[in-house]
Amino acid sequence: MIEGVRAWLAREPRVRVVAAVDSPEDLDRESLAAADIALLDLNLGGRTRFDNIGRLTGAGLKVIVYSQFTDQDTVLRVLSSGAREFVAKNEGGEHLLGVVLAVATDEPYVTPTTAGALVADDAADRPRLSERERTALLLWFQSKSKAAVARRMRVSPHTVDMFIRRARLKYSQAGRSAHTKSDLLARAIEDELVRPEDLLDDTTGGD
Amino acid sequence: MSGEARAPVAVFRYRRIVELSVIAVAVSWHFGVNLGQLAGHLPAYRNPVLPLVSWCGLGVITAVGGASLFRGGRGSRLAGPLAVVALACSGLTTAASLPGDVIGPLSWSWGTVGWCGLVLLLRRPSWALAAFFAGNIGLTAAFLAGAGQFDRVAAARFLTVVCTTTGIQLCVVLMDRLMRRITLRAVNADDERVRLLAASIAARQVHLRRRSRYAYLAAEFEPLLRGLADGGLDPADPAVQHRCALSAARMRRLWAETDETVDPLLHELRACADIAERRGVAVEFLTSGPLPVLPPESRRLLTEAPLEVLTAARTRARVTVLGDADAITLSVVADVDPATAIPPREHRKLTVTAQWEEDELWIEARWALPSALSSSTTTPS
Repeated sequence: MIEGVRAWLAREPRVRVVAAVDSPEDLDRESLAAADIALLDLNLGGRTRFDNIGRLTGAGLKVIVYSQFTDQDTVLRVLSSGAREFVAKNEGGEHLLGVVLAVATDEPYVTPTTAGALVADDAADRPRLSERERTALLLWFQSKSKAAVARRMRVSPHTVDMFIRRARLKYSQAGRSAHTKSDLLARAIEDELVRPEDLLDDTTGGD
Repeated sequence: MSGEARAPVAVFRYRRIVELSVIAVAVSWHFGVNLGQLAGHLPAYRNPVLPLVSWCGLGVITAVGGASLFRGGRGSRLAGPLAVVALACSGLTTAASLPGDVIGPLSWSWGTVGWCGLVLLLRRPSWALAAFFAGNIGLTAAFLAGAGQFDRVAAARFLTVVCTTTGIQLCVVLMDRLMRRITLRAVNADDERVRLLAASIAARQVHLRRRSRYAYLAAEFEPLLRGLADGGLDPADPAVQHRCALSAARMRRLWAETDETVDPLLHELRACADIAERRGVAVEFLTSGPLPVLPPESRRLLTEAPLEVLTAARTRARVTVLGDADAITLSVVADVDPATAIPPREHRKLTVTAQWEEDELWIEARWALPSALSSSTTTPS
């Protein structure tokens, strides 16, 4: 599995694998200092470990969780534990690389699996998404083709992408992942994904 | 509530009436009739202190036994010894009577001590009561014999009094025991009736369900099998092959319907996805959110259109199931033959949306949940 991940990441010259270890405890000081991102498998040694997320973010790393457990509870718990993003193992190299690059530049990235978990979230503290943000998440979960989603919603693929990233941003804003909040927001404003005045009114959304 | 649990409650309720009647008779008899007889004949006793002591003793025992019986349970642990004391008290009164008055108003106690025995021993085994009554009769007979009065007339009077006092008391015991048996039998019979009724309703439901499944099967598969058998349908025709595959998937879904699972919808969908996987289709299966359990007919309607796309898939299919507060949304994206047609679905709760993406067909079936009508989880944009 690790070799496959290495091969996927090697396709992108901007990515360099610093270390590959069996457990966060095995990371040495130099690797920790050199790395920006930790790609974490939740299931280590047969047990599902959420506490490793906090351990790695505490060490200053941006954590991406890479797991075969794609149920809603796991995905939402991963995001609320401070991980930047979640990638399902069945989603393949393209999404994995996309997430790594997005997280490195503090941008939101939503995989179809994550979209499914976000759109089905019915917790009391879930952020209020606009109808179109919600629809975009739902359709993205179903088809994982932004072009198809765009045709269905009769908007451009760029707009679909914006709806999805805004929805993710609202989740960060809702305080589910305090670690990612400020970086993501700063970057989102830079990218004109949101305007600063949008942030004053939590309910503003959509197009 | 099961028979074992209900029986004691019902038995308690009926026996309670007997218990309260026994307490009422014993108390009113002792403090009414007995007191009157004692007061009226006190000077006539050989020693008036003895019947006074006897009356007081029997009064205390009646009160203790009555209170214990009133509180329920098996009665005081002292019931046995107290019964012996009660007989002794009664004997005391008889002993204090003149020899000619062993059967008369002065020896009031031996006829009434039976009520005292009843309040003490009603909850004890029947042999305890029988021993008490036998003891009382034997004691009185011994007094009679001791006084040398056991002639024919005295014996007849004695038997009459025994019949009218102990006889009534024995009737009460008999009533109590019968009441218990009848109540138990009635409760058991009622349980059996309820059990049979439930079994017959369940059998009827199973029968109806089977008939409806049979009707569905017959309408679905019979023309296909008949066509294949009489050569009217060509097995080499891709359209016939698709029909066969679809029928296989539907049959698989039908079998999965009767399985006991936590999530019947997912269970049935997986059964259908299995059929596609056996044909070499790579099926991606994703679920998210809570999925309330829909009745089998609704599940059949909801899965029908996605099932057709899944069956027509050539190499790959993405199946997603999403539950939220408003609906259950089932979607299949698959590379299918462009000739695949999506028949319209008509049900007020079901919305089917189809979209072509080159060679891929994307179908979404959405089943609205009741909560969707009253609330919305999103804000308008």
